[in-house]
Parts: sequence; structure tokens; C-alpha cells
Amino acid sequence: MITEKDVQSRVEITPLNGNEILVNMGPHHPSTHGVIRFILYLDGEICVRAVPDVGYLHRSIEKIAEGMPYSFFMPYTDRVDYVAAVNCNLGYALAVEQAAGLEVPERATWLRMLGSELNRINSHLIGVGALAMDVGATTPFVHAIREREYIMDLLEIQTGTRMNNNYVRFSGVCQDVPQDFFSKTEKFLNHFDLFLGEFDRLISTNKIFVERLKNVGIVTGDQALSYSFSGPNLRASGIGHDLRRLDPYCFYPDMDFDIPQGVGIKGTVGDSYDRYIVRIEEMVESVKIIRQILSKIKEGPIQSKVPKKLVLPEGETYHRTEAPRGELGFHIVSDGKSTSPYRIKIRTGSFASMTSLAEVFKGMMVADVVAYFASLDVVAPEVDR
Amino acid sequence: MNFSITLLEKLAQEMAPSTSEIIQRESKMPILKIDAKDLRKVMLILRDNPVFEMKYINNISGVHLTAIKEDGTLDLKGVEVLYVLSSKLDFSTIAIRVDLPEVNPEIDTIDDLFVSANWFEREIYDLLGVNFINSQDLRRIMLPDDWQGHPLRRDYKENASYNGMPTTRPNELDAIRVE
Repeated sequence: MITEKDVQSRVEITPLNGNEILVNMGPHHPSTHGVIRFILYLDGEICVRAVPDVGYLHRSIEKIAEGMPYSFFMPYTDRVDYVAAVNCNLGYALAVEQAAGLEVPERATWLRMLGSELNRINSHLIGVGALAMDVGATTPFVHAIREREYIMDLLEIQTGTRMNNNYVRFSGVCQDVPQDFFSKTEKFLNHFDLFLGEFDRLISTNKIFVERLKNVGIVTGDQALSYSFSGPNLRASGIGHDLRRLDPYCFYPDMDFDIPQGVGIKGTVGDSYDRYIVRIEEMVESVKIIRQILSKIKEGPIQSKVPKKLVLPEGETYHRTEAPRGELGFHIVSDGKSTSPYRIKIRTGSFASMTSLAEVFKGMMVADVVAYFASLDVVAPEVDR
Repeated sequence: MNFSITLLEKLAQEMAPSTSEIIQRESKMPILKIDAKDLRKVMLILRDNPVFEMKYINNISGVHLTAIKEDGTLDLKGVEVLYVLSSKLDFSTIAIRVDLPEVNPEIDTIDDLFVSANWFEREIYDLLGVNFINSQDLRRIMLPDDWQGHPLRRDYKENASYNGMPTTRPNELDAIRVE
């Protein structure tokens, strides 16, 4: 049983006014997606004040990085966001490659993009499926997980593992794909097009689902900027920033794809439904990108030469990529002598999204608290690192 | 990478007579180094001046600066705080660096100017021990409130135990292992 002392050991408790009651939600709670905790001050069913409490999954990845060579840190990056491992690998590899001035062969870049777009669909499926489950619809989650299974099979062929795919290497990738991989991917995409329509008919336009999400947790564009939102959450608020366009990396400038934005299709711009629908639309765009990759990829080497003792030049860099949960930034500091990084700071989309909770929760019903939080698609290990 | 050096030069003019210096000029990420006392002035220019319109914080991170002396011990040189901000208009990005002294590192908070700054600052306070003056809510964020020390400092020594729980444990197989 949680005593008052346990609550106080993490969060300062202010005296309760009038009819207020204190509800401890989490850290183990089905809707907190991992271990995140909220202290909610409720007046009836209205949330008067909320204190988010994180850190339960802190694995000190940044401290670990200081004790090992650059290449040894690669497997830790796919534990930063376990739903989008290749994207995190890619972000780290690009940051180091940029600082060290390493070249990447063409085929390796295509394979990296292929892996990260597959992972983006994978991650968004979990995001939208879990959102539906959190507002009370269990079936869509099962459908999303079923589709994710096909992607995991593809990623297993490509990277060797189903989860925590440690795929990207400096100046390349760890292995080439077998001959029939592209035809299998094509087959999956043809199936996935049909699935998206099915999923929309199942849940996206379901009246109860729409009512639960529209006009809930409205975040305007200016607010989204002040909360440091990024990725789909920022775009849902009507600001069409996508780092694949604004800060191009890999071959994304050559790709033809749209950047979905929130338009308030069922309610107001920046409500929870917009955040949901932007993710659905982004899956369509990822399918487009993968089709283009499949038509453009050519035979060639997948790895260039990397110095055995990799030492980055003295100084610091900040490199960012567009991960499924938004801006994934690596701030790397090198002392110019050591083969291990002096300091690595990882900026993640989920951590930034969490900064909005205390303000947005104010005045919400408890059921909407769950809906808003699920629509942000926060993954706990990415918050705590 | 669209880190902008022209914006940094404009900012350096705008914040005169306060002094500043552009470092890493030739690299992909030029940085404007400013004094800690000018931070709030600079952030207000960045946020409110129509030339910049920097309403967006990408990242705030801290680095404990050290060097290794000839006798192998650490020479502690203070803490660096790096602010990365982006423009609302075209998302062009700039980096601002502030170096704080080793003893009692403290800097003004910017969490009243940017909402998300509070969590970034809390993380730096938690892991590096920087005090953000006038912060609305400066508590540990990753570690428990009764944790001793700041782990990302280079001179950090972990305590042998936390609340009666040992932080290391002996390897039982050492007993049968031959040296």
C-alpha cells in the first residue's frame, strides 16, 4: 500500500482545498505506457492540478556513453526508444559521421532509410493502436499489433532481430538484405494499403472514438512551440515542420512525400483527434517513401572504411533527425584525444512532449487526461533514457 | 545542418555592449559564447525581436568541463550549459553557450520565457548540479530526491549504498577463480 510518506518522497504535496482529493496514478498503470506517474488533484472528476513524475526507467545511458568507444555505444541507442530502434541508430550514426567526416555508400543510405521508414510505421501502429485502447476500444490495438507483426518479420530479415534492431554501423549497415526482401516488402505494402482503409472504417471514423478525442487537449501552434513539441505532435498543431525537409539527411530531399498537418478535421486544430489522424496520414506517406526507395535502390557496397580508432575532432555538435516521436537530437562533445565521447546528451521527442502535461491537464476530466496523454504517443524509456 | 552564423552575428550586434564571442566558426555548428549575467537579456531578444522569433527550444544540455592534469588527477573547469533554439519562421537554429564556474555553478532560469525549459533545467540540475536561480520548480527529475551527488559530473563517486541498498555487490565466483 502506498503511504503518504511514499508519495511525499518524490513529489511535494500541497494542502488540499475544499473538496479536493489526491489520486496517485501510476507508475504502473495501463495507460501510462511504461512507468510514468501522475499525482492528480481532483475536484470531483475535474483535474485541478497535476504533477507528472518520471525517472522510473532512468538507465543512465548518457553516463554509460562516457566509458566506451563510439561504436560500442550503438546498441544502447536502440534502447532509447525500443519501438523505433533503427531511427535511433540512424540519428546517432549520422551525428558521429557528420562530426568525423565519414562517407556512407549509397546502398547503405537506402537501406537505412528503408529500415527507419518501416520502423516509423511500426511505431505509429503502436501509437494509434494504444490510443484506441486507452479510450476504450480494444480491437483496433489487436489489428495494429497484427500488422506490426508483418513489419517485425521484415525487420527480422533485414536486421536480424525483431526488436531493438541494432542495424546501423558508422559508414554503413551491418548486413545486406537477401534477394527476395524487396518483393516481400512490396507485397506487404500492397496488403498494408488495404489495411489502412480497413482500420479507418473500423476506428478512425467511429462516432464514439471521434467524440472521445475531438476538442480534447487542444494545443495551439504557439503553445506547441513553447512546449517544444516536435514530430507528429507539432504538426498536429498546424505547424508543418519536418526535419526530413528542413534539415535534410540521407536521400530524403529526393523523396516525394507530403507533410500531413492538423487541420481540425473533426474539431479544433491541435486537438487529440488531429494528433491521431496525423499519425495515420504519416503511415501513408511512409508507404509512399518506401515504394520510392524500392524503385531506386541499386546494388553496391554497404560499408565504407572507418578508422579502427575513431577519434572525433575537438568540439561539440548537435545533430537532429526526425524520429517517429519527433526530434531526436544527439549533442556530442569530444575532447579530441579520447576514443570515447566526452559527453553525449540525447534529446528525445517524448521528453519534450511531457513538459506540456502539467498545464494541459488543468481543468480536464480524468478520462480526458488519459486520452490526451495517449494522443502524445509518449514512450517511457525515451523520456528517462 | 542549418545552424545559422548570420543570425549569430546579428545577435552579437543586438546584444552590444555586452560582450560575446563566436566559437567553432568554421564547423557545422557555430556557437555564440556569452556571459551568464547576459542570459536573460539574450533570451528576451531572441524570443521577442522580430528578426529572430526564436520561440522554440530544441535542447538545453550541460557538460562538466574537465582536463586531466600531468599527475593524472582531474582539473575541474566548471560547467557548460548549451542552449539550442529554433526560429518560428523558418526553423533556422542557433546555439548559445554559457560557461559557469566550478564552485557554486548558477544561472538565471528561463522557464518563465519558455515553458519546456523547466524540465530541461531540472535535468541539468539533477545530473550536473547547476542551480537555476528563481526557477519555478527546481527538483530532481531522473533520480530520487534523497540521492547524493550529481552523476554526470566527472568527479562523481557513487555512494556504497542508497537507503540501505548496496550499489555494488561482490562477485561470488571470485572465491573459486584462480588469479
